[in-house]
Amino acid sequence: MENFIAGTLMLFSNSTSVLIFVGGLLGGMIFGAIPGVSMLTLAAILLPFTGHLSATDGIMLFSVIYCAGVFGGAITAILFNIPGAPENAPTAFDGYPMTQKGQAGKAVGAAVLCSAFGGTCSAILMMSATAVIANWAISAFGPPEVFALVFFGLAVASSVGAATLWKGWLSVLFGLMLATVGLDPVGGIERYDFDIPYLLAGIHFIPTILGFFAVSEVIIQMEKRARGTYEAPKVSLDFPSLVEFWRLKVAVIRSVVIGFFCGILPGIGAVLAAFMGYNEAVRWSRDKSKFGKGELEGVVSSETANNAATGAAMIPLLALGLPGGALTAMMVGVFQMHDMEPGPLVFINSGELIWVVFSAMFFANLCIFFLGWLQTKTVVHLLRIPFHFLAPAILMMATVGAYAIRGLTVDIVVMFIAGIAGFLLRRSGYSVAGIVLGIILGKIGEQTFAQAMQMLYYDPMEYLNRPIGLALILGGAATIVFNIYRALRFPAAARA
Amino acid sequence: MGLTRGQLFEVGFWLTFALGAFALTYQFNLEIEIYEFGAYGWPRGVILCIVIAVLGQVYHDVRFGQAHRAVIGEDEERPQHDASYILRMLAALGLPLAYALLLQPLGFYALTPLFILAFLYAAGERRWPWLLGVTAFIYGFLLIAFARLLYVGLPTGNVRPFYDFSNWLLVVIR
Repeated sequence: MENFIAGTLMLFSNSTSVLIFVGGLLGGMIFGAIPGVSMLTLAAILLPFTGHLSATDGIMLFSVIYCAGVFGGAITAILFNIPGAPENAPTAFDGYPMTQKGQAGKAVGAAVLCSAFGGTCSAILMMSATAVIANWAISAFGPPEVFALVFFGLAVASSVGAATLWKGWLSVLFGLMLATVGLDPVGGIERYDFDIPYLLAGIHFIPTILGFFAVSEVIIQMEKRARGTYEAPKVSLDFPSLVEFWRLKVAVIRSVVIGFFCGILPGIGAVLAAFMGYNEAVRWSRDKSKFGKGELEGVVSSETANNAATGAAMIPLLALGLPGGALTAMMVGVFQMHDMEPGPLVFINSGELIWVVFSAMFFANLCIFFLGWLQTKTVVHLLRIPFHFLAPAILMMATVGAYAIRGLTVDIVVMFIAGIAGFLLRRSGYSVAGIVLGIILGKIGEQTFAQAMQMLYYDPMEYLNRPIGLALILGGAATIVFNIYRALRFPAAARA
Repeated sequence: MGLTRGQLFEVGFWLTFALGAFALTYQFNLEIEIYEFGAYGWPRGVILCIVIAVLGQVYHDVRFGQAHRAVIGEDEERPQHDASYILRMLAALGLPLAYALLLQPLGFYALTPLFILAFLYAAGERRWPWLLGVTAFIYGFLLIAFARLLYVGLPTGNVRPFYDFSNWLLVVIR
């Protein structure tokens, strides 16, 4: 506690640090809301300038951008079905249908509250036990466990948003197939590239997410206008009530645990956290069919989980020097620019830096609550703009977002093809959420499967010696068997 | 109970997709020294699961098809589509694709205002002041936000005079 107070005093007693804190917060929220551009772009732009800042201010700036950026993408996901980043994709599953039902204020309000809550809990957990948790997670979680986690996530995801269980599976499997395009993760052998150089690097998930969500949504709304059945969403500024939140307390706590846990795992981070948080909400729900149609619990679960991952992602970085994702890797760069190496020695040699960063993340999450509340009261009014005026703006933002990642016009073509495919698949009862999940988890899944098989000498029975992995594999298998049983016995009830 | 034409088409699509994807795995069925399953193991596993899921869907359609269609309202007659609907849907699907394909040669800066204008028209807007005003607003916002403030390098095209126009505009903006 003394360390935390000292870190807070250091942070707020220096006007430069305060300015950097506020700038990082606003910048992260704004950039996080722009698809494709994202907080990573802001971080990359700012990276060279951090050499002119003190090490403490530089690291603190990046940690604040991380917290605010993960939250920022939720707003566009909810209002326009455009996730600012992959970790906000599950927020759109239920957030956008809530907007269409005239509950945009409630959805954004829930995202604000849960992002702030998840992030704050994560920051507190991070402050209390960084070294202990990092050591445990790194030793207990190898590729076999990560693969088991992915398998478990995919098994649960098949029941989200499709007309039947089988179509849910086909959606996820289609995503897994798309993820195999490009070089295989072990031998670097070309697969499904049709001699097109662009496909060697695989299908990037940002254009596909933008296509499946934003572009397909625009086409669906255009179809409604052409049919004369379009209804503008009602604008509502109502925040969720305390009673509604109290009802979701279990989902929130579960998502904090899932988000924090996924965040610790290097290379997994907030994306898996958000999907797992959402999937678990579906799995534990008595009425799974309400998900994907505007269920508050869906928004709450994914936003709590992805923000809970932010603090956790700092644990392997600071305690072991292992970056878990692109932004934390840039933070290693900031450390190195100041002739420092993240790892256990940082706690001994630069304790004050660590505690300034911890307190900055804690206060950034609290600020998200107040700034997010203001944002809810203002940004929701964008929905008053007639959709046919918003549609080209959405398409243009998505176009810039798809192009900005790699500077390839092929990404824009991929995005629009994904949009048209998404439109046709959604009309036929398939789940674009499942496809996107398949694409994202497919890459992680195949890589960790290959590593796991090598580690286990190709003997699945070796899982008996790895209780965490075994529990996850059995949980996933049980979910599949239970879902098939329900689909065969009670097809109407099994409809996702 | 048989399958409807739409259901048959779906089954045919997935089986063709699975068969095609499986056939293509022979292009990369090379051994990897350090990995027993090779580059083809994972895709073939996924393809097998696709076939199982398709069979499950067929079973579902045959066994519960009618009841299920009744639940989700598929038995209701589909609305008849008039020429205006077809034209507008063709525009909604075709315009973005045409825009994406023309971006490389013509560039973002020259093509975007035309696309926004055409899309607004296809969406049913017929008032010229609104068509021009909204186009100018969105285009102006994109230029200021991305070309000037964020310095995002957008496609300039590679065909004259579009390429020259893009570069001229960038000089003016920046």
